[in-house]
Amino acid sequence: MKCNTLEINLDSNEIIESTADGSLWLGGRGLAVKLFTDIVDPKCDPLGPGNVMVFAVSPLTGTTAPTAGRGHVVFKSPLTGAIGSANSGGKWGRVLKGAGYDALIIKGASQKPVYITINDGESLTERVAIHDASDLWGKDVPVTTDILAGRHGGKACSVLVTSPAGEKKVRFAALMNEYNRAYGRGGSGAVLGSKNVKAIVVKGDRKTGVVEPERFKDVIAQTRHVMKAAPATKNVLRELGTAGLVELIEIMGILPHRNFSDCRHDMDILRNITGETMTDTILEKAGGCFGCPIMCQRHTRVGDKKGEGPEYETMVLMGPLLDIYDLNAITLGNYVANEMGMDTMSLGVTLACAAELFEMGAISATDTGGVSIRFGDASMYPHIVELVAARSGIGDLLAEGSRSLAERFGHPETAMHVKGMELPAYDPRGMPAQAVGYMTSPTGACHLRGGYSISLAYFGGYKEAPRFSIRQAAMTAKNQQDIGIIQDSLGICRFTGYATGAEHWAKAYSAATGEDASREAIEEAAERIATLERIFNIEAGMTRADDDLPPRFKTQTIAIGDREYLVSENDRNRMLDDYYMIRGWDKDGVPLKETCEKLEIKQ
Amino acid sequence: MMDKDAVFKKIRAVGSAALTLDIENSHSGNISIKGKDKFGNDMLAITATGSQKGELTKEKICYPSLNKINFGYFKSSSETDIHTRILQLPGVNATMHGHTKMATVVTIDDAPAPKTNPRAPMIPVDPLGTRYLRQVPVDWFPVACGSKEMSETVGERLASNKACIVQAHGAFAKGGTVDEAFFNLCLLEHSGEVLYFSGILGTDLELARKRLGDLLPALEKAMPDYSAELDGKVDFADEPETVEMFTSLGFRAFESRYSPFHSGSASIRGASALLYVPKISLPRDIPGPMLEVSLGSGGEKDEYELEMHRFIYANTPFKAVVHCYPSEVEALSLNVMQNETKGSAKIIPIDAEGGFLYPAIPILPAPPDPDLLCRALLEYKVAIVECGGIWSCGEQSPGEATRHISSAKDISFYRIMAKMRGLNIAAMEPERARNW
Repeated sequence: MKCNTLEINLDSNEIIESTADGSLWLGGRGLAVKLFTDIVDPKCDPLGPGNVMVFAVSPLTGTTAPTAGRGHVVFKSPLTGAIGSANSGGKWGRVLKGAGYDALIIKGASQKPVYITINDGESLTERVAIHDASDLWGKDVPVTTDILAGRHGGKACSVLVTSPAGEKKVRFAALMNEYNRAYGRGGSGAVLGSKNVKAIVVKGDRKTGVVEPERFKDVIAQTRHVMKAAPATKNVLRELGTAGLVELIEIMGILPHRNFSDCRHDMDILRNITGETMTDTILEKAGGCFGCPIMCQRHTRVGDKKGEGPEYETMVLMGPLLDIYDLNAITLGNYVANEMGMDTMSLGVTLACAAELFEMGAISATDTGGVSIRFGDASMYPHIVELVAARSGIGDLLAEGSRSLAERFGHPETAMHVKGMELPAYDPRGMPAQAVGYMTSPTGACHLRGGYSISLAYFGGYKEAPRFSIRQAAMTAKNQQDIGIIQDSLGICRFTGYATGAEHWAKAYSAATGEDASREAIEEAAERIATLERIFNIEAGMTRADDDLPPRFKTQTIAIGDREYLVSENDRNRMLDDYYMIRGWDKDGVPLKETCEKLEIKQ
Repeated sequence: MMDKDAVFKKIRAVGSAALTLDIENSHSGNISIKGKDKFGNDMLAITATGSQKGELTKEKICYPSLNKINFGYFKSSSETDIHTRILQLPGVNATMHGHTKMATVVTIDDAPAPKTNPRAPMIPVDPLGTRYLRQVPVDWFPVACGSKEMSETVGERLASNKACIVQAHGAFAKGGTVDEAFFNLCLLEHSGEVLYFSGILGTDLELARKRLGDLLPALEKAMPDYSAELDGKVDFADEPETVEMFTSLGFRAFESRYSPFHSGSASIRGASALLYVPKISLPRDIPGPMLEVSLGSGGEKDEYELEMHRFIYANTPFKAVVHCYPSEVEALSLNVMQNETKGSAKIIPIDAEGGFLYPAIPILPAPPDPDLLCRALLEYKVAIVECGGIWSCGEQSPGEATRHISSAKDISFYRIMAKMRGLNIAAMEPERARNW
C-alpha cells in the first residue's frame, strides 16, 4: 500500500512529496509511528527542533465507513519523554486526505511564527505554502480558526491550531481542530508551538477511492447494521454524551475523588454533574465528527457563553477529583481549556495534585503569588485555566504537569501519573487490567493508548470480563490495547468498539485497499506497532521501573462492595511479567530479537 | 454404606436438571443409584412413584432391596424392577429413565400392533451420539409402562448398549455413575433432535451415517470416555469471580441447550496458563472440573480437546474459547455439507440474529484442520465443524464466545423452520451476506 507523504522541514523550508510503503502499518497511528521512528532521535529534546511530528490518516479515512474521519499524530512527548500519540475526531484528518496526503511530517523549527497551508492544487508550490503568522501569535483557538478559515476557504477548509498554551509550551497543550476537537494528550500543542507553527490549514475534496466497492459496501452495511443495534452506538452516547458514565462509574466504585484518595461521593451532589443533568440543563444539541452516527459531542451553553463539553474525563478530573460538583463552573473551565488548547485531563489531575499539596501545607500562597488551589473551591474556574495557559504565576508551575509540580515541592507521591502522564478518571484499583493498561501504555497513563479495559466491566455486554482477575489482567489489557491500535490506525472512533470488532475492520480495510488483510494480519500489525512504540521508549531511556503506578494505589485500598482493593507490588510484578511475556518482550520489557524478526521490525 | 444425604442431593440435582431439559415431566421418569445398606446388602436409592423430579424431597427417595421385593417397593417407582435388572449389570451403578421426546418422535412408527421386536434402531447422525451411543435399540411393548416383558427386554438391551428406547414411551440409560447415566440419556435426546431436524431438512441420513462411520476413529480420538474423576475440582478458587463466570456459563450452556450435559468445553487464557472447563454444559449442583493448565502443549498425554484450545490460543490473539454442540447447528451444517459443491460452505442467517452476529458462519470439513479452524475463527470468531460442533472465540470473555454460539443456534433454528414452512430461503438472505 503506497502512502502519499508530505515532509516539511522548517529549518530549511524544504518541502518534499514522496511515497511510503504502509502495508505493514495500516495507516494512522501505525503509519505515523513507523515514519516517526525512522526519522527521530529518541533522545531528542521534545521541545527542540530535533523533535518530529507525524500526522497520518488511513485508507478508510474519508470513505463511508462510520467515523472514518479521524487523524493521528505521533511525536516525542514533552510531558513524559516517551512517545506521544494522540488521536482526534473533527474533520481535519479527512480534509488532509482530501488534499491528497496520507501523512504529514513536520521537522525542524521555524525562526518566526508561521502557519502552513496544504491543499489539492496542481503544483507543489500551489499545494503547500508556509505563511507568516506574526498576526496570529497569542490568539486563542476560535479566533485563529475563524481568521484562517476566512482567508483560506471557509467551511471547505479545516484548521488545526496551536493554542496559546502550545505557544507557551505548556507540557500538556493540545492541538485543536474544528474549535473543540483535540489531539489531546501528551503535549502535541507544545511541540508544534516549539516549532513556531501556529496552524496547519488543509483544504481538499478528493474522494477516497476503494479498490473493491461492492465488497466494501456490504461490509460497511453490516458494520452500520450492528452499530444501529448496540446501545452505546445507537442512542445512549447521543442522548447523554460521555458524561453519561458519571453515575455508572460511581456505582462501580471507581469514580475518583480528591486526587484519587478515595472513590466516595454524595450521590445527591454527584447528580449535579451527570450526563442526565447536562442534558436537562446546559445541552443545546448533540453533534458528531465526520461520518459519525454516534454523535457524542455536547454543544452546550452556560449563561451567554457557548462551547463544547464537558466530556466524562473532564467532568470528573476537573470536578470530583477536586471535590467540585458545580456543573457550570466545570463547564466554563472546560470552555477556556478548549479555547486555550489544553488537555483537560492532565490539567484536572495537576490541579488536584496542587490542591493536595496545599492541603498538606507543602505549598502556600506565598509560593504562588497569592493564588490558592483548594479542594471544593469551584470559584477557581475559569481563571486558574487562563493562568496555566499563560504560564502566569502559579500557572507556570502547573504548566509543567503534576510530576514536576509534586517533585518540586518534595512530595512526588501526590502526583497521580504514569511516566509523567496524569491518570484518567477510572481508579485502577477497581480493575487490575486497567492498572496494567495504565502501566504499560506507551504514552503514560492513558485509557485510550493503554487499553480501555474498564469499559468491559461497565458496558462490555457479552464481552464483559472478570473485573478483579489478576490472572487475566495482562491478556485483557493487551487485547484492548491492540484493538485500540487498530482503531487509531484505521482512523475510526473508539466507540465503534461497542458494536464492532477487528473482523469488521479487517474486511473493510481489505476491501478498501484490495490487499488480502485478514484479521490475523491486522492484529499482527497492532503487535508490530505496539512493539515499535516500546522500542522507541526503551531507546528514549524508559525501563520496567517506569511501568509503575503511583504508590497510593499500591498501599491504600478503596472499598468496592464489601471488599477492599489495591494493586500490590506483587500484583504489579505478576501482571508486568505476564504482559511482557504475551508481547514477546523480556523480563525488563525489552522486545526480544525473535519478536522483532517475527514482526518484521528492523532495528 | 450408602450416604443417603449425598445420594438425595445428587438425585435431586439430576432430577432438577432433567426437568429443565423436559426429559422428565411432573410425574414421569425415575432415577436410581446402587449401594449397600448398613448390613452390606445390595440396595438401591430410587425416586418414588409419581414424584416431582424438579422438587424432590428426602421422603421421595426410596431404598428398596436390589435383589428381592421388600417393603421399599410400595412407594418406589413403578419401574423399580427394571432399574434393579439394569443395576445388576456389570459396572452399572446408576440408571435413569426419562421421557426423551425427540428420540421418541423419531422412533415412533405406525406399524399395526402387535409389533415385532426389535424395531428399527435409532442411529444417530451427530458426533456425540455416534461416538458414545453408536446406535440405540428400540422395542415395542403392549404394556409399555413397568411391565414384566419390558423389564426383561430393557435389561437385555442395556447389557450391550448404553441406552435403549421403549417405543412411544421414552428411554432408559445406564452409567457407572448417575451423572454418566444422565449423560447418556441427554445424548440420546440430543441425537433425537438432530435426527428430527435432519428429517425436516431432507438430509440423506444413510449418507450422513456413512460419513460419521468413516469419521469414528477421529471422533474416538477427539472425545475421551466419560469420566467423573475430576468433577468438582477447582484450581482457581482464589478468583471467585472467575469461578462464578464459568459456573453461570455452564448453566447457560446446559439450560439453553447449547450442548448436551457435560459435553463441550470452555477456557480463558492468561499469560502462561489457561483456565479450562472440559465439560461446559453444567446444570446447577452438578459441577464438572475447573482446571488451571499450562498454555504450552502437553503433547500426546493431553486430551485432543484441551490441545485444540491450546492450538487456538497459540495461533490467535483470542482470550476465550468455547466449544459446544447445539443440535440445530449440527443438523443444518450436516445438510449444508451434503449439498456443498463450491468448497466454501456457510450458513447465512435469515433472522435478526444475523444482524448481531455476521451475515455468514463458515462450516469446515471434518476432521477439522486446526490451521483452517484458526483462520476461520480469526475471520468470523465462530466456525462450525462438520460433525464436530461449533467453536467460538471471544476477544475478552467466554460470554462473547457463548453469545456467538447462541446466535448460531437461533440462526440454524430459523432456517430449519423456514424450510419446514416451505419458504423461499434464498430470498430471505440479506444482501450484505454476499461478501462476508
